[in-house]
Amino acid sequence: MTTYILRRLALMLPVAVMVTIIVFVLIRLTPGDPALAYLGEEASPESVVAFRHQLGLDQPLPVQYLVYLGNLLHGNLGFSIKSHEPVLQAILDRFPATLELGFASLVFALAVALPAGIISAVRKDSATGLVAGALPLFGVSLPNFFLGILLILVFGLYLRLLPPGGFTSFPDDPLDNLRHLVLPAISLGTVNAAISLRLMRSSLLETLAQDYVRTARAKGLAARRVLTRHALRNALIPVATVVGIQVGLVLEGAFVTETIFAWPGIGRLAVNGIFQRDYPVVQGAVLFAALVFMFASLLVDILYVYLDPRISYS
Amino acid sequence: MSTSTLELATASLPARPGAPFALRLGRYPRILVGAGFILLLSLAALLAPVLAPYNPVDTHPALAYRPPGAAFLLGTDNLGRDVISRVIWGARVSLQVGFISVTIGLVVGATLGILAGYRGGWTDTLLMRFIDALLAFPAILLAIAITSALGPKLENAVIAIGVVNIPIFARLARGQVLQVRGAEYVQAARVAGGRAWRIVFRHVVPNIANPLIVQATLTIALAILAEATLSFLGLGTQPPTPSWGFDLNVARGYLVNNFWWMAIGPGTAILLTVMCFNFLGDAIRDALDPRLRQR
Repeated sequence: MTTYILRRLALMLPVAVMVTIIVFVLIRLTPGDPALAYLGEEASPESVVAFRHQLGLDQPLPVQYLVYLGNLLHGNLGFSIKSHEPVLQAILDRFPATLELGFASLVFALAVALPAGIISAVRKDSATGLVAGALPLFGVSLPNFFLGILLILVFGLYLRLLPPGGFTSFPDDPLDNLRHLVLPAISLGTVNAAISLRLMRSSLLETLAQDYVRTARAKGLAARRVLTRHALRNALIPVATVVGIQVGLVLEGAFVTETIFAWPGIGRLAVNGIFQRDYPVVQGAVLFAALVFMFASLLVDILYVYLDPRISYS
Repeated sequence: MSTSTLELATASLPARPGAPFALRLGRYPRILVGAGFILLLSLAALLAPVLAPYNPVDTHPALAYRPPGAAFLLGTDNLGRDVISRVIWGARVSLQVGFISVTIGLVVGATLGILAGYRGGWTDTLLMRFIDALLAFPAILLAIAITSALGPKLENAVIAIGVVNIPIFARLARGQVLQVRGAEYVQAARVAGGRAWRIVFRHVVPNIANPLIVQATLTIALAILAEATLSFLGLGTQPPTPSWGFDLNVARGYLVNNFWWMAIGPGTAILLTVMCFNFLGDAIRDALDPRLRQR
C-alpha cells in the first residue's frame, strides 16, 4: 500500500509540474505589463524597471519559469494587483468558507441521492421509481447559477424562509451560519446529487441481479434485509469512487455559487479578480484549485482500497 | 467529464448488416426524439430573424421592466429589450459555441491522441503527461483561466472551451489507436511499405471515427453549459450580443426588485438545450450498452 501511495505521488509530480507550466504560460499570455498593472500607469520608468527586475521579468522565459516555480515552492503565488495582498494569504483566508460550503453540498448530494437512488432501483417500474430515475437528467442539465437564482427568488425573496445571500461565521453564530449555508449548498450540490443518484440506481440494479442476491432471496430473507445486508454494501462502492470527480465539480461550481450567494470563499475571490482584472488572484486560485483537485483524487483512490477489499495495489 | 461516456463511446452501434442507417436508428426511438428536439432548436436559432418578434439589441428605456404579457411574452429587461427575442437569438451563440468548441477539441484532441497512440515511446509519454495536466484542472476553471488570460470575448471563450475538450478526445483517440495499431490490416499496410501518415489516414482514422463522433455529440451539452458559465461571469459573449449566460447575470442584479421574468427566459433556455443534448447523449449511450438497454 505504501509503495502504491509513493508511486502515485511520484506520478503526480510531473503532472503537477506540467500544471504549473500551463498556469505560467497563461500568466505570460495575459495582455499588459504586470509591472504597470501593479504599480499603476503613472509609475516612473525607473520603478517599473526595478519592479520588473524584482519579479524576474527581465530574464529569459525559461529562467522566469524557474523563478516562478521557486516562488511557488516558497508559497509565493504573487500579489494581488488591487489589494497588494499576497495571493496565497488571500486564498488561505477564504479556504475555510469554501471547504464548509463544499462539504455541505456533498452531504446534501448524498442525502438526496442515496434514498432516491435506492427507491428508483427497488421500485423501478412504479411512478415514484420512474420520477426518481428521470431526476438525474434534470439535475445534470440545470446550471447551478440558474438554480441559485431560482432558490433566491423562491426561498429568499418570495417565501422569506432563508437568507438570499451573505455569510455569518460559524463561531460567531452557528445557527445563522447554517441558515446562510442551506441555499448555496443545495445550489452547488444538485449536480453531484444527480450524478450520485444515477450511479446509485445503476449500481444497485446491477447488484440486485447478482447470483448472491438471488441466493439470499432464495434462503427466504426479508426483502429489506437482502437490500441492506447484501446489495447496498456493494452497490455503494461505485458511488464512493466518484467523490474525486465531485470534488472537482464542487471547486468549479463554487466560483459561480459563491458569487451568487455572496459567500466569501475562494470562488468569489477569483470571480471578483476576474471583474477587477486582478489576474494573479484568478490564476493563483485556479492553480490552488487544481492542486486540491489532484490531492482529492489521490485520496479517493487510496480510500477506494479500504472500501473494496477485492482491490489490491500491491 | 464522465468516464462512463468515454468508455461507452468506444463501442459502436449494434447493427444488422445491410440494414439502412435510418432503419437501424428506428430501433432506438429515444435517439430520434433527442435528435428531433435538437433539430427544432437548431431551426429556431437559424430562423431567429423570422421567429423573434422584436430586435434583440435595440434598447427602449421607456419599455423597461415590463412583466410577461400579450405584447412581450416573457417581458422586457432593464433596457426595454424583449426577453423572448433575446432568448431566441441567444440560441445562435450557444449552439455555435457548442459546435465550434467541440470541433476544436475533436480535431486537436484526436490528432494528439493518434500521434501519441501510433508513435508510442517518448511522444506518447510527453503528450499524455500534458493531457493529464489539462485533466488535473476542473474543466470550467481551466476555461476561466484561459479566457481571463486571453481577454474576455466570445472567440476566446470558444478557444478556452475547445482546449478544455482536448483531453477528452485525446484519451479516447489514443485508446482506440492502441487497439487498432496491432490489427492485421495495419500490420499488412506497414509490411507493404506504406508511409506512416498514409496508414493513419487510410486505415486508422476511419476505424476510430465512430466513437469519436459519438463522444462529440455527448460533449456539446458540456460545451454549451461552459459557454453559459463563462458568459455569466462576463468572460464570454459581450453585450449587446444576446447571450443566455450574460443575460442571466444581468437578471441577477434585479432579483431584489422581483423582476423574475428577466431570469426565467434565459435560464430555462439553457436548461432545456442542455437537457436535449444530454437526453440524446444518454439515448446513444444506452443504445451502445446492452446492459443498460435491458433496464
